[in-house]
Amino acid sequence: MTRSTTRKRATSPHQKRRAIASKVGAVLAWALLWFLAARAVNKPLLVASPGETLRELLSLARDPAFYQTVLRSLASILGGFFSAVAAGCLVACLSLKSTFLRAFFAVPLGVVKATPVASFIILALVWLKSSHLSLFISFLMVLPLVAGNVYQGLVETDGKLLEMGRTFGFGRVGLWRHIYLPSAMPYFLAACKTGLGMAWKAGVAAEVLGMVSGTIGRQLYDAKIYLETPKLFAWTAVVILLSVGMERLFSWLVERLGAHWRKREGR
Amino acid sequence: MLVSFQKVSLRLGEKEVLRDFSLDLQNKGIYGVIGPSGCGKTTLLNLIQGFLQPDAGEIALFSDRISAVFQENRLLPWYTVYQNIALAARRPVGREEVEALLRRLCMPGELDSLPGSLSGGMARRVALARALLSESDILLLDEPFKGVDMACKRQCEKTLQALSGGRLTLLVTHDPGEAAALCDTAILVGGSPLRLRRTLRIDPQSRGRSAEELRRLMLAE
Repeated sequence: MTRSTTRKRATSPHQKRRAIASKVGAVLAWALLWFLAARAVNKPLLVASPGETLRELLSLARDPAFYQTVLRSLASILGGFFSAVAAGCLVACLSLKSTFLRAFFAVPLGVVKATPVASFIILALVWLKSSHLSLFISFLMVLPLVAGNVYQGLVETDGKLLEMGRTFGFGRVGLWRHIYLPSAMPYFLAACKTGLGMAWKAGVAAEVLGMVSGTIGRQLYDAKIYLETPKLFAWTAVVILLSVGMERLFSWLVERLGAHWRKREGR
Repeated sequence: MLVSFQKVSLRLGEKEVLRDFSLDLQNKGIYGVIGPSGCGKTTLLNLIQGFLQPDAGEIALFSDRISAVFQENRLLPWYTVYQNIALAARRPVGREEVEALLRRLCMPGELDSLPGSLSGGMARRVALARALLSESDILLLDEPFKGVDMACKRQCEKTLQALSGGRLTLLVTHDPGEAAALCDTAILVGGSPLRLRRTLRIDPQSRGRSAEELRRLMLAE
């Protein structure tokens, strides 16, 4: 069985084209403003122009080490993200079942939410090897978000639907599969989407502060130290592109999975 | 005894809903529970399903295989019509079987619709189809034709009569005509706290006269 997780507004091809044109236009307008600002400042050390940044990006793309760097950062940050998603779901389910566990988990999750990420990065530098830093920080940032959202989704499950399920003999597994999980799914997906961006930003910040070698963060740090502003801009662009790309990939995967389940269960 | 309420008392907040309420249903068939709106008829169904626990007294059931049409439709909004019905069937059911039943309820060609896209009357008929197709010994129907238009209602009533056989069916309604048209026995309830007023055997040969009598009894109460 599946559920309809997203319902898109029907758009005509013309409307679609207009929406794409608007987006491209907005990006070009901001690029133009950037170009004009760089020209007005006229100090490449302070503001690299779009052209210089693009040249630097192309030069990075020709270097095989660039891909290794990106992959290392991606692996660590996504590792932290997925571990946090799994742990967050577990924490949410346990919190639903026990008042004590809910109170027990609320304390550390509240502390993590209220503490600045920089404090954790510095603490983690004391506790952990720097190679594990971004994984740990991404995990820490995403965990409270997923746990909180999924718990909220589970708590807000319609009690009348649960009664219906019990009357029709769904059983414990059936109630979870057909009622609790679909109810919590929008909350889960929202948490994943937000968490992905958070994990990425916090993970790269951890790499910068921890000067983790062979990572995007380290490249950003080195570019700043050696005053290679176009490189700094280029690596920042890489971070942005990867963040947007991952978010798009995630949305696409959710849609594909939804379609697959609908087809499978439609019988 | 198939369903038995023995001196059941129930208080919901400040309101005393039942006090020493007793009712015994000994045979299978369709029982109509008739009484004015808000008198506590649905509470009886909630007690049978275990959603409410009595403060005193005992409720005994001969089976826990129950299917129901609730006061609200309670369809799973993320599943299609077919999935909603098949999921509650307690046995594998094919699309053809569900489609055939929906046709008997004046609702063909909606198997793959989501509940959100159905009208109130259509969603009600899906809820009725779900209850009818489910393998159960006790069928609880809380105003099952609410929102169903008159043209379809008659056909839905026939389908209900045909498919409820072999089960103990409790039909909650405030419409004496509906009770007389469908039921074998009418159970008149009313008052606060809820009391059993009277039971009346419906003569299948003269349902019209039974409806008149039920109306008269309800007015007299």
